[in-house]
Amino acid sequence: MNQPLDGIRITDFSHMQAGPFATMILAAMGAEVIKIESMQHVDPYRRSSPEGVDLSYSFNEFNLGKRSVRLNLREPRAVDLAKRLVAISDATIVNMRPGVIDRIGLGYEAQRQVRKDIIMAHISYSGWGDGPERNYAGYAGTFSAIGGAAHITGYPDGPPSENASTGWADCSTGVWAATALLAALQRREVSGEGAFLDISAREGVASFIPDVLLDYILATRVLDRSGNRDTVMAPHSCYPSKGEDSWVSIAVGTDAEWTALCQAMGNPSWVVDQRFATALGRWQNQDELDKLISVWTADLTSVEATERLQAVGVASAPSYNSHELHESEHLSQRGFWITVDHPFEGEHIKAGLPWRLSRTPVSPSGPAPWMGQHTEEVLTDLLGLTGDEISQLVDDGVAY
Amino acid sequence: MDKREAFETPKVAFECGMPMPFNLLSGVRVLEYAGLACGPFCGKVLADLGADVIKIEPPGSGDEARRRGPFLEDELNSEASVLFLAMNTNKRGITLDIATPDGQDIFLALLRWADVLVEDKAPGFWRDLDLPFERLHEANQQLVVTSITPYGQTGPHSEYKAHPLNVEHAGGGGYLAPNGRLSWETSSGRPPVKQGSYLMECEIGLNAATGTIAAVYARRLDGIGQHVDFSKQESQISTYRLPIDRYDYDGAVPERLSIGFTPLGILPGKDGWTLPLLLEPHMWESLAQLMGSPDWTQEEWFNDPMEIRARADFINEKVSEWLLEQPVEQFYHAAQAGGAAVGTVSTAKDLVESDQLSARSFFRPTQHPVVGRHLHPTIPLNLPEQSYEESMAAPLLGQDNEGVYCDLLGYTPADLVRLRQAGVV
Repeated sequence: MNQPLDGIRITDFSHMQAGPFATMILAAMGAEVIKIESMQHVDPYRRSSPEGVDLSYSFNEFNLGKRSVRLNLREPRAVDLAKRLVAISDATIVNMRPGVIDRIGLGYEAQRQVRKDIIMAHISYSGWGDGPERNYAGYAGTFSAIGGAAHITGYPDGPPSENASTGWADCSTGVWAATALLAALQRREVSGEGAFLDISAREGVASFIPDVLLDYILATRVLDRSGNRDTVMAPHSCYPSKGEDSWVSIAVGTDAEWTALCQAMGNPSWVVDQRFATALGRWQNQDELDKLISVWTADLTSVEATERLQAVGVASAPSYNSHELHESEHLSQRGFWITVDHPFEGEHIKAGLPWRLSRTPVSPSGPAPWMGQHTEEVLTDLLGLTGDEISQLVDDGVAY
Repeated sequence: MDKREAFETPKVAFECGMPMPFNLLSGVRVLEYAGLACGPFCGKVLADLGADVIKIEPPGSGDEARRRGPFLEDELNSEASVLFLAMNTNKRGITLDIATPDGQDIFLALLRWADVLVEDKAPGFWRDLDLPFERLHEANQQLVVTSITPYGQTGPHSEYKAHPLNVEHAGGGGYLAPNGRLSWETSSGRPPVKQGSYLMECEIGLNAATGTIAAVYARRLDGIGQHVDFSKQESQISTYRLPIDRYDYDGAVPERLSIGFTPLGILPGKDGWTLPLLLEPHMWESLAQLMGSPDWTQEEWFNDPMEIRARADFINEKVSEWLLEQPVEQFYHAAQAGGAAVGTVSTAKDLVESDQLSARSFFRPTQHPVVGRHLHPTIPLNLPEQSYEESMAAPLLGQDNEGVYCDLLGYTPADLVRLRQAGVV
């Protein structure tokens, strides 16, 4: 079966989550991804388990379907070999502070010398250019803070939501990089040119709130936290359902949906209260409204409430936790959960990727590699090195 | 005749000296039939990357975002909705009622022009119009159709109704927020929350663009398009896979009342909030120096990451106390100068006034007939060999009807009048 990136090869110099998620996506789309790693500078995501570099949960999450080649880029011969891999690659990806990859000897100019039309995706916290914060350090949590997500997420009377260990901003940055890289491949198909794609992680987050930013630009209004509330719709929140820390989300957008909600709740007497007669009234009195709706939801599981409301055309969904998502009949029937068999970790169920292309499927081809798993294979098959040459490189700390 | 030759008439926007964004998707033609935030943001990404995007809106009221604020002057004005303006740069705009027979003919003609259709209607919508994907594909074999729905085209929940709030909670991200050590107390007994504004809707819209471009690029294999069945719920779960996939490893169910970095995490400063994420030893050194090297930072244990974690409560107390006296911007720059990863919790004002974002041209000028000239947020990409000088503002309702119907599709002005009168356009 064909895949979108059949025949495409990517040399991957990235570490941790953003760059690796980008190349994991591209690998799942059919690209051959060669991940350059070394014991000299171990990917921090391989260090998250005391059990060793091949048994780290976070590494094994974000490196599905890639080949691992050990090259110690502090050694000139390793850099030469890396360049030879770049020469036979369509694209590369880097996830470092601006300038670091150049000091290593694998900057864009160096890459272009070995492959004229190389597409190089470079992810960094603040991007290249002359900005004052160009060399600053960042991780997913700091992108979320400085990109504007933290300030607007949480209760009005509570702190900003941290979202550092959920890692969502790293995944999104990876998606930005994969998207730009795919677009550059498309351009190359038409015009033959390569590209240097300068991607800023903090801007990646900021780009998801164009309305919030524009409202300040046009009207100097600053959006603050508002919990689950909407500027127009009410009821619009999560309500307590049966079970510990169990909640069901309900959003009502029209008078018809409001009537349906009342019906589903068995038309308790309070629904005819004048305060709730109009959309504006419901919005203005939603503190009270939410309390009253909670009385109804509290006796039902989030699934029961959802089924009853969906049956009458009201938008509702449980606030699913990971257990519930894994048990979901809907996701199961859609084949969303995939089974990945790792030689040391064993079999595990993981989230699939959300792109169901009807003719060229997107699906991870296998587990994350162990450290250096494909060094010999790649150096022999792709670069024509002999067994003796490879042994020498290992001994010399080049393929380390 | 190659179908592309049939449309060699000049394009209004990009071939007549109008502002150009990046050219990565130059030549890719996109029809966008979507509203509010997610689908339009997908269209925006494609447009900002250089695709020629024509946005189809229902005649009369247009995209529902036009009726949602905030509005420029605090009053309903469908040409001054900040939400609509934000999500629809670099697109041409036409009106069309696809539910009419004439409308369907026009739609099929447009599909023959297009490489891509991005749509966000419920699965039943296309069935009811007798326009299933197979029929769209018959009109144009090269067409990529990206269908954005809350739960996908198939499965027990495919007909479920969802507003953005519901998608975020159905996708597992909602359950995990608000998080952070200082949130735990305030969150106890209160519901989990979605991220602010349309942040996740846009993030999901980006994901829709990723699959779309992959499908376009896949055409180099055999020239044939395909259907992209895109579930917003699945996209959300994918973005939160790090905590969610833990479940099959240790049965742990991550939840907001236990997620949070310690020591430190998100903390209040003198005039705002900040997030120091000191994930490497030298970053703690940097913090110690900023604090004037108090005695406790000179102890042996301070050099040991395990010891630091073990003394989290103590460190939290000491640093929090000190941080309350520090202006957050000053702390940010001073800490970063010492190599520590810190991110100021930024408001819209902070972002718009950021020197760094300005140096990167993240905000670019645009000109709109009603709102005037202003800066507009773009995408997190720069291409050194290409300057993206200006964005084209979001279209007025039906702005490009003449350009598309007459110049592109060959209708006469009289035809257009007739179509307008019939409510088709």
